[in-house]
Amino acid sequence: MKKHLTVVLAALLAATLTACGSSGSSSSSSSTASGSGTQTDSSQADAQSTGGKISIVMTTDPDTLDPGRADDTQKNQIVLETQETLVRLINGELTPAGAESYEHSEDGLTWTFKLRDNKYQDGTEVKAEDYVNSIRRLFDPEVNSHNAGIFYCIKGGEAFNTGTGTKEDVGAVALDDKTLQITLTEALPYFDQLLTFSNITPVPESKTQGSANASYGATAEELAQSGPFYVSEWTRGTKVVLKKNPNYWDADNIKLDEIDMPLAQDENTRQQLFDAGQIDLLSNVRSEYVTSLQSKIDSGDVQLSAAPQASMSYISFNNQDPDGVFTNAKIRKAFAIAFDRDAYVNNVAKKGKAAAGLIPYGMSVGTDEYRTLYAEPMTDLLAEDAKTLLNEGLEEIGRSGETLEITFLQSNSNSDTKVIAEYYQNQWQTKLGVKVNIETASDNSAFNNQVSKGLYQVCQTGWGADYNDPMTFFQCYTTGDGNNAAFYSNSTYDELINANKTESDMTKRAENFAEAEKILTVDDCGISPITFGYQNVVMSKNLKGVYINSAGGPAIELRDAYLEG
Amino acid sequence: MFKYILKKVGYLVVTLWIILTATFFMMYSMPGDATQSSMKVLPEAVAENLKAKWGLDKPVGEQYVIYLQNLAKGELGESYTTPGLTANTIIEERFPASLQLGLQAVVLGLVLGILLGILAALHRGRWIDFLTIFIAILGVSIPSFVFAALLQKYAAGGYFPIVGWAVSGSSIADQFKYTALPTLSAAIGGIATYSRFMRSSVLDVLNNDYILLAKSKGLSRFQIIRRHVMRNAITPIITIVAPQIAGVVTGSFVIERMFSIPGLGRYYVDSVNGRDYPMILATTVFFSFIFIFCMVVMDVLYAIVDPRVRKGIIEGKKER
Repeated sequence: MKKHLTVVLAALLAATLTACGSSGSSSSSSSTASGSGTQTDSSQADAQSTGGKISIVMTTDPDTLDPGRADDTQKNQIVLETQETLVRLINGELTPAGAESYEHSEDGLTWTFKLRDNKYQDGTEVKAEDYVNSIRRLFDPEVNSHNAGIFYCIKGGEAFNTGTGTKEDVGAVALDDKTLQITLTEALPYFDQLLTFSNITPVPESKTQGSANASYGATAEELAQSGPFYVSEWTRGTKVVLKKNPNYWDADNIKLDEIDMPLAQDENTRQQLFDAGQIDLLSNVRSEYVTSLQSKIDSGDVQLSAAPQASMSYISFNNQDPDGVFTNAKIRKAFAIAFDRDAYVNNVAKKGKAAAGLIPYGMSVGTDEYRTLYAEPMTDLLAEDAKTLLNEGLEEIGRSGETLEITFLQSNSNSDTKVIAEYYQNQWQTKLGVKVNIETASDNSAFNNQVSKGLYQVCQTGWGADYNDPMTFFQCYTTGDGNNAAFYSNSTYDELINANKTESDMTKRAENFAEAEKILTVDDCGISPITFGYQNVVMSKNLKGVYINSAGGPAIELRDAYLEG
Repeated sequence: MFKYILKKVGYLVVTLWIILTATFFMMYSMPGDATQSSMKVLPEAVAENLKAKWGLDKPVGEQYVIYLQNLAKGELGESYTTPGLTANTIIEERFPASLQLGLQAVVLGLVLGILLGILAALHRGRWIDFLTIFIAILGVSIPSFVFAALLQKYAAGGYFPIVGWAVSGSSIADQFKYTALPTLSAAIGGIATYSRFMRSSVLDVLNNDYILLAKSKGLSRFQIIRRHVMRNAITPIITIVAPQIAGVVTGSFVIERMFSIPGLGRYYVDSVNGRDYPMILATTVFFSFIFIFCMVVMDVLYAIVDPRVRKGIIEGKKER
């Protein structure tokens, strides 16, 4: 899924610690109780709304607008403004949207959604069976949705996806035109968080019959659009234009008439567009650019908002290292702590914030932000002596006194990854007295291929949240998970995470997560988190009502946005 | 002459086949494929499905044969990363913008380059000469994307848009508005190269006896330049124009990216990153075709323009 690559790459370009600090004090408001959203000042929204037109950029050219295949930040942004999810993140709060209300059975396996009277842009009614169709398409082998795995919790989904079941067996049924029922295989307490995904938005079956099933979303004309806006124009390679959907159930409260989205793949071009006042919002901007805008920010001509992004980068040790080095916890710990994370953030990555735990800021357990409940667990470990740990580890693997030689795998030969690889090489060689070779994979495919086969010793990679629950991170490091790049395995960890899939007591869940986080990052040090994502968003001074989502929903929610004055 | 052209076309086909085959097998020998180009691992079933859909589950040799069979039918295959669109459609939709930008850039480059080159040579050592040399050095040493960024910063934002492209069929004014800056950015290298070539070529010609003769005959300065200097000096330009045309038409992806032009260049780069095999092959073969085609046309043109080359072809035939 490109989303994760995009998220991490985007994070690569994001703020430095300094910039985050200064911006935090200037205009951002802190996260809400649920911790996933940041909102620009929206006081007296109704009194001052003027409607109108705004422009934001597309950073990549969408290859399809099929909701079932939206799998990166850019596609999510467009799909989520033009389609109605059952629930939406409004100012960080899960709010019923396509569903007027919903409830789940006592055992947590059956979820029933009462739908609102909503219409597509062409005036046809949105029916429960349209949601059923989109859920079936998610697992349809003809569609090949990259996100299918996330929804295997829906009964019959995995079977249909793997060719052992049929679409009729998928646990989503329309009880009547306005009632949707979804059956799960496990009682996921965070299932409603998954419903902020663009993949579960209504698609009438009439639109996806025959060959149209595989090609749906290749043009704007064929789309059935149920969201606050609709794509009125899509010129591939140049721009997308969204217009207000007059048939949207809450159209009276949608203030913007039009959102222009010119494509600008180049960071420099995007800054020119913002400087020239041709776009109203620019997210994920580099700290240097924020600095260049500082006088305008201070004078109030430009608004700056800084918010956590639920992503993190980490050093992945191959816990099944064929060379038998990183199979040892003490050696892993030595490598994990033998450099200063703040220095890394300020001088090398120039983005994000130093991390001492797995779960970034902005992730919630129930209604509480996880990081406010439990502090980052690696603080004590980071204070230990790396060289001592290394010597003890070497003794344990019977290679005491030997000058260790290891290989760091970097993902490709661009300047960013090169600087990162050389930083680790330098730090580990000087602090630990080991010899570090750098191996370069030619591109992402080659890198992922090599990592997935375990043909590496140590590398750096990252992860971005799919939904607003720590499970999206913890799941990756369970034994045998496809995304477990470190080949980490610990039965206690697995038990805690498995228990938390269905644990409905949020206090207990948070406690389990905290224990698992400590096992993974401190006791075993199976992976070593380095940075948490953090992003700067700049906006024109009169754009209000914008929500910045950390995880789940569109990265920038414009549903309630308006121009002031 | 017909046989000569036929032979050149024969070479074109063989060269294309070699390029195609080499690209195909190099591409497949790289570790990883399109299902692994993103950081997150796809569910096994989805990855397997996709591989089966794309035919990646078959042996490479078989895939190669299938590819050639489809190619013979003119089918370049469906893009992996852009579901619902075939490589044929993408090239049809996208190439016009690249072509327009490329041709405009070549024409602008040629006109300005030749003009500056002649003026510089005729006024050797004067300010226009220094200006030309200055432009040539700038044009060669500043990458086009830096020039594009400067234009975006200082020339765009008002009348000229920073990004975007006029849809086909729009007014001349719109066409000009949207294409002026990208064309200038793409042309700067050409202006530099042509003016440099033209300057030295004109200087060479000026030293010839026939120029002296023309002068002594009492021909006007303008007549001498038009009839004797221009004609003789421009021949070397033909040699460099052909690959330049191919280069500009196919190689403006940086400019396309910066100005958000819906051209083919983006697909060339993205398809490599996404391991979109049909698109990699289609764009490689298509660009190679344009490149080789330009070279063939140049060879033929050269034979037509230069009697010595033509004579060489005929004599070569006689020897056999």
